[in-house]
Amino acid sequence: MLTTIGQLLLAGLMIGLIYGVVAICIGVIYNATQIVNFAQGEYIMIGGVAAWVAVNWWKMPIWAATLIAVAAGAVLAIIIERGVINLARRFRPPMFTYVFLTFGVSIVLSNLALLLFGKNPMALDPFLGWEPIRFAGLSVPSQYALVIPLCILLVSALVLFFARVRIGKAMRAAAVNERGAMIVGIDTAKLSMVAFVMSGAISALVGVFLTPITTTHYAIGLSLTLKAFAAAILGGLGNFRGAVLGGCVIGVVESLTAGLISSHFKDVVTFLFILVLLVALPRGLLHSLVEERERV
Amino acid sequence: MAERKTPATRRGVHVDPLAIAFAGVTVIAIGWFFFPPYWLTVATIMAMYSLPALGLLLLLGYAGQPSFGHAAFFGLGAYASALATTKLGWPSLAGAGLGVAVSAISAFIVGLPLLRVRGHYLAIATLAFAIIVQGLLENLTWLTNGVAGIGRIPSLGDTDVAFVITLGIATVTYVIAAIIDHGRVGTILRALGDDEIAMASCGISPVIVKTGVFVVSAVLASVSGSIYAHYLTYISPESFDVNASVLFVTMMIIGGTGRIWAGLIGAIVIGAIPAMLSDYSSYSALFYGIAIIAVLLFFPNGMLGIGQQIRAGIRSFRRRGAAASAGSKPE
Amino acid sequence: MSAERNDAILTVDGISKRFGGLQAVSRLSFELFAGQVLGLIGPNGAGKSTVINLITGYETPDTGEIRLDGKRINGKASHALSQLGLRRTFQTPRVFKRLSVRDNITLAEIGTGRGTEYNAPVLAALGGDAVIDLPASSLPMAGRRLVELARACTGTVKAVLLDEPSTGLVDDEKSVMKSVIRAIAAKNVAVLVVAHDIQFVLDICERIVVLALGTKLAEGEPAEITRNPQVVEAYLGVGWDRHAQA
Repeated sequence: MLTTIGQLLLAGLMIGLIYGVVAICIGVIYNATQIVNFAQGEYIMIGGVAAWVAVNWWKMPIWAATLIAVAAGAVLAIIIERGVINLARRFRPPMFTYVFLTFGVSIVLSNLALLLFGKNPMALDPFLGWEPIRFAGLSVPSQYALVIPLCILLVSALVLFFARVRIGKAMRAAAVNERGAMIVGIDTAKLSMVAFVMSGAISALVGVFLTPITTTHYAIGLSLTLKAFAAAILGGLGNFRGAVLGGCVIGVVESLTAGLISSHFKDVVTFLFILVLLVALPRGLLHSLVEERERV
Repeated sequence: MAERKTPATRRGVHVDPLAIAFAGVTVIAIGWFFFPPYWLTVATIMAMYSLPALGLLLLLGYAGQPSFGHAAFFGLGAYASALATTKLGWPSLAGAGLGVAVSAISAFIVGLPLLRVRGHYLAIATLAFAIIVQGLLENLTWLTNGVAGIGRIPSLGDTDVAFVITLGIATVTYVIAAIIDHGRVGTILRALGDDEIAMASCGISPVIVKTGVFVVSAVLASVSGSIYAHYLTYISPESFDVNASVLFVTMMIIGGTGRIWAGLIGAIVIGAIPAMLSDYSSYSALFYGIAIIAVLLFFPNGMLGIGQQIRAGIRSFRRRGAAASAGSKPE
Repeated sequence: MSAERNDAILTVDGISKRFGGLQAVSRLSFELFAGQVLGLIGPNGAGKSTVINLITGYETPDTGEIRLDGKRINGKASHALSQLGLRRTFQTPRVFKRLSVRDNITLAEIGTGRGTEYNAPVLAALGGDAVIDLPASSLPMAGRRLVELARACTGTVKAVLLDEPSTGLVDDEKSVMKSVIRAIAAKNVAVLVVAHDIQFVLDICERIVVLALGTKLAEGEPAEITRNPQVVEAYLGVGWDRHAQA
């Protein structure tokens, strides 16, 4: 029984780290642009799909497929940012317009995937082979050994980026005070582009590594977006450590539900948990980077 | 100095309830005598969707809050009606009433805390709520029959009878809405859309008003779902998935925000499509997604704003022309 | 005009507020009495608007207490405070643009009750029936300020806090605003006026609080304030004592 729980916890942690990374991506875009990207989960789908295409149609090795996937994520992000988001900025629309736009993008992307690739899940072979590995007395799929370090690496890299690299610091400045950032010469439009491309590329990368464990198909995007978003809110929108923490909480809840209660009700219970959290703690557990007060 | 024209001075913003009643009765009469069955069906579906369209218009246009999960309330209404009439033998009105009660209570619980904060929280929450409801509908097989769905729901009647009933309900709803719009509630709603902070300074809690709007929009979606159940006589969970919410969102956007009959336009435009495509196939979802993006980018005020936009475009074109000819003169 | 000295309608007791790295208000105390017009002046960034926001529920004080009629009101929502009779206007007038003047007032009636006792002089100054059905957004600045003030004086009114009521007004309009404020105070309402316009404040306020960097620099009658060397140095400069009513 204990090993089962241990296994479930580890699985939950693994998926939770993924949610955390995606939550950070959502937070990056939110910090730079105040936009909530409902289409974030689709990049994960795109990453997996692009890698699958590269491996199965073009017969490429997995490392090349990964590069293709990341490129696909980045390119898609540029197209969406320039073609949709920036176009909308002309009108200076109210905030909910962007919410609808990214929601529309999410619908378009997932349905395009459905039309092009059908309803069947698309699988990738685990990168390190099919032999499970042993960790702390538990037997886990080998892919975990790649996913977990990858996520930790990504989070650390992102934290460093925002602390040390100029563009990263600029984005934090713009998050706290957009006008002030513009006054000191920060190009907020460029920041928006950088934020979208980063988020898209990273999510696609994560998608490739995730596919051998969960497979990918047209519909995974929205569910992932919601869970990642919930993780982001739980940790305080824009707060990276909080996002990872939130992601792990949600991942563990999901995994324990699937294993101990029923895999059918996994989504219902997880989203119920998220809904209750949203209703009870709309401002999240930890502090948000961006003050959301309206100036009177 | 010209007095700046605002919607309040322009005649015609306050739609006359009598006019709506008259229009509705006219359409019903013309339809009854002259419409071929296909037109009757299309009109019935449009009328059915005009209810949630109105609710979402109120929610977005006045409360400024998007909901992405309205399919959940639609589904709750449909299943409440279906279960009440098939398993409990209740009359259809009672079934619809059950749906209304469930939707209103859940909307209140979800809405009250979340309407205090920014819009995207409600968007996420309603989406989560929609997924939860669909998951429950699919998996609580002892209650809902799961994916097999519920059939043999008492029918609304033949094509023409269903037409009259549905259009009648829609007309009554819009008439009531117009009457309310003329009164104090309409004033409060317009004030809410203008300036929430000022509203608070007048002693009215914006959160309570917004919650009320959300509950009303949920109720409207629920009633529409009940009609849907009796119209199709068979329902299954897959009709109430995220794509269904997308349909509602698209309606809302195409109609634009702010005026009571804008939602009706949205419903008419969008309602025609499912009627013609017969179900939510993937093509229709793709179409809605593209429509959402296109309308938001090119018609930010919705279809009704097109007139404004054309005039504004002509004005700026003329101005540019005048400036160009002035600038071309050598100084 | 002699002010009836009752217990204070509004008591501000040692309130402070910090925004991130900035201490906006620091241990501020003063009292507002019925029928009295109190002025709150000070240089930019002194925290004047923050004080109004703290009192009327848009911000919560970190320390201290705010009392209305002796009862603590820290943390109450702004709409609840309005219902209790604590009203305010805004630096940039927030009228309901889509609504007529009449509907603006109606909205206030819905929230805080029918009561034209206090807003009658304001409506009269606005022009009464001539403007009552015009959309609020069509009025010039002075008109909008009066509409907002009329709204704030509708129904239950114990105290009204005015944030920069004279900004954007020309001299005639300022005179009208001054007499309107006096008329409201004459009905035993406690009035607080926050303003940059020193002359305006000197003309209508019986008592003035000077705020600088979030703390109270001085408090007293206009004549005292204009001669106070600290106030002169920090804000007013010399010469204002000529303009103060002794």
